[in-house]
Amino acid sequence: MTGLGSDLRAMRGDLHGAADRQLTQVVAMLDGLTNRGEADGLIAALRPRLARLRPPRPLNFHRILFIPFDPLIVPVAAWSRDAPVVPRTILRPLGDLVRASSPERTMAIDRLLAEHQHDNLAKTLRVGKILWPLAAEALLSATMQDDWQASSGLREADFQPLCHSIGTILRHVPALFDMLVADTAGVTLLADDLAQFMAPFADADPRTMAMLVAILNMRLPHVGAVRALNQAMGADTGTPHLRLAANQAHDFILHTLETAPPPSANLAQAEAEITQLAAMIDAQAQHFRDRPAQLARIAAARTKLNAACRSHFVDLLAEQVLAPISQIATADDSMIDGFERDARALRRFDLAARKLGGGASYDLALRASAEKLRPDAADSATTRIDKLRLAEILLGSAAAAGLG
Amino acid sequence: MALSPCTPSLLDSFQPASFRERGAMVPFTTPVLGGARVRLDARQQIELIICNPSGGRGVYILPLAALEAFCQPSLFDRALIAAINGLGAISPAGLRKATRDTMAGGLAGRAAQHSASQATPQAQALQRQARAALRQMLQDQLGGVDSPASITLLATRLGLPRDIIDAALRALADLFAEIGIDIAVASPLAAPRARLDDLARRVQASLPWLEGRGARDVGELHANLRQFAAGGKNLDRDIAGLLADVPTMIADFTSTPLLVVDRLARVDWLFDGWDRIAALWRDSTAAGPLPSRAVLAEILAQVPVLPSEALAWIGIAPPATPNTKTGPLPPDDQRMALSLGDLLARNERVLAALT
Repeated sequence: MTGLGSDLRAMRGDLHGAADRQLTQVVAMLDGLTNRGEADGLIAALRPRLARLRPPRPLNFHRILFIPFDPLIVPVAAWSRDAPVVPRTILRPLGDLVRASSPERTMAIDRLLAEHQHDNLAKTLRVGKILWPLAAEALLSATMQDDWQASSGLREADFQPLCHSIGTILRHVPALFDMLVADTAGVTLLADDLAQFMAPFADADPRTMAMLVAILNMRLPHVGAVRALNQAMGADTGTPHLRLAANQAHDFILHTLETAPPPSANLAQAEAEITQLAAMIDAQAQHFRDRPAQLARIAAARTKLNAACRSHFVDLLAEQVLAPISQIATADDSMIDGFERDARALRRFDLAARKLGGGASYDLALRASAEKLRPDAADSATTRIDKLRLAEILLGSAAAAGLG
Repeated sequence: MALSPCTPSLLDSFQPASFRERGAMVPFTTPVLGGARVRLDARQQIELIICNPSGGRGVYILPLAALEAFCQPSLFDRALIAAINGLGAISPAGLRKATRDTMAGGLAGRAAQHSASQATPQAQALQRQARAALRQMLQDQLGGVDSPASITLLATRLGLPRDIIDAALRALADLFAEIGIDIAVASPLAAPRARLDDLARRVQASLPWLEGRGARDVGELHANLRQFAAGGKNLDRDIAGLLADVPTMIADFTSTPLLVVDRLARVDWLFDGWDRIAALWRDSTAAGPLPSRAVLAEILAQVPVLPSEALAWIGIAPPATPNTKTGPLPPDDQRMALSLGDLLARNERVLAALT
């Protein structure tokens, strides 16, 4: 073992006691290693905390390869052959298999990854549109590696079906991402567009179809065309094969909603997560509208998420918005910009979370913060303005004017 | 029309006869006040003209003093309204100054504050350049040996004290600088016209990405831009003509200053409102070729109306039918709309980019 390995072992103990911010920095450093080796084990041990923090992760080969399946990735212990899920332990062996399938194209992709320093949707698309079709072909013709069982923790018999489902979907992921980008840009996804995307999957096996339906519902829960597709697939007039796939997908989504972790401690991500979960809850409530048992489970998931959001909001307000204000008198432009950005992100979180209920508790928490934002006689003119602007963002202009 | 203090009135169609009736744009940051204009009513009270917040046709008109009954203005807008109430007259130039002064207070954020603090030295430099250029033009046109001699020569010719001529020259140069007229070039309105052309190019470049109602709306915006650009070209010729005879312009200014000021102010009135639309377009297309439909609806509602007076001023007749504003956003587009807090932040960015 190299010195790096022993360093990592030493770090394991330290990291369990590290502050969130330090942990985020260390994870960013580990993500940057070319050969992660033991670093993966270190990150795995920290995964429960990372799930809460959701630090931004760099977009490397393996991450871009499996980004389309993000909503379906589960720990191997939670994997089931009857659910449309992807066990986390297969990501590295299958990713390595794809890399080995075409060293020349892999090198070209690595160069492209290095050229694009910024981790964003554009980089995902640029690299993904080359990588996904390559990976599809590699996985659809893959032969099992000797260490499959050891590295994945699954049986030999699981290799082929998983490669088949993932490869089949990857073939059409560029078209899926075109729809996601259009949706993000505000273009309404029409039923015809979705039908055209689904056409190549007409003969797909139930597991592949269930994975696809789950991805669509978890990525685009607000889209009318997706909801209409659910209805068509679940209808009594549909084929049993499609009904089975739809049921598997919706059971998994329901389970995901019931077991959803608390919102991210990363303020910038928390609002998007809540918006997505709230849309998924609405879509599932619509899908299961004639099924009282499922509706009761959805209502319970909504109540749980609502409670988590309210509690999380109070923590975020105190820790990420009000606590840093103690430095406001000496803050420079970029710090003030950061305070205001966080306050706006918190308000976005507030607006998204209120849709689940409990508006009065958010109002109460915000009103309680007013005194901390009230300028006092010792404040300079600049500090006074900075405080009033934060009050305006958090409480609205009328309340802020009242503090002045 | 007299309005009760708190009742906004909705005009289905807004086709003003004059630019002053149309009002001057105020870069408020409160989202619902995007593209709002102020003007004086018949009793010399300040009125606010607000684009229909639903995105539909028409405008709301209410006394500025009644604004808080209509919406909750941002802290910056409250301070700006106080500054506007202190203005003697309503003009784009006066509102620019009131806006800069308010921005300097910091209530629109530090970027806007820095932008305002940089605007003052820039304006002073432009004033110095304009004064020097106007003196040079006077000297060239009178064939004088130097600038003081030219001023003395013109004073003698007009039978006025030399100080009056000097003060008139400085006042005119300052006016040119404030309005953004570059007197040192053959096309004095090159800068505002180029900004309008740049926006027209960006709008045209977006057309292939659009279809259906979006393409029709943006096509209409482009047609509007072309019309204002044509007006700008005509006005450019008019101002160039004025500058071709600086001695007469100074003489006119000493006898009928308001007429000359009004003629120069046409530049401000014609281009008024477009810079904010251009800044909105740039801000909303930083990551792609198109603004979202929500921003597009905002922009379309804010497109300046060309009043009937434009025909006499710049030889451009307003369209026979008023602009067709876009309707309310469909649900999928509403999802894309920014929250009020984010819109306020966006408007502050746009404000900082304006000065």
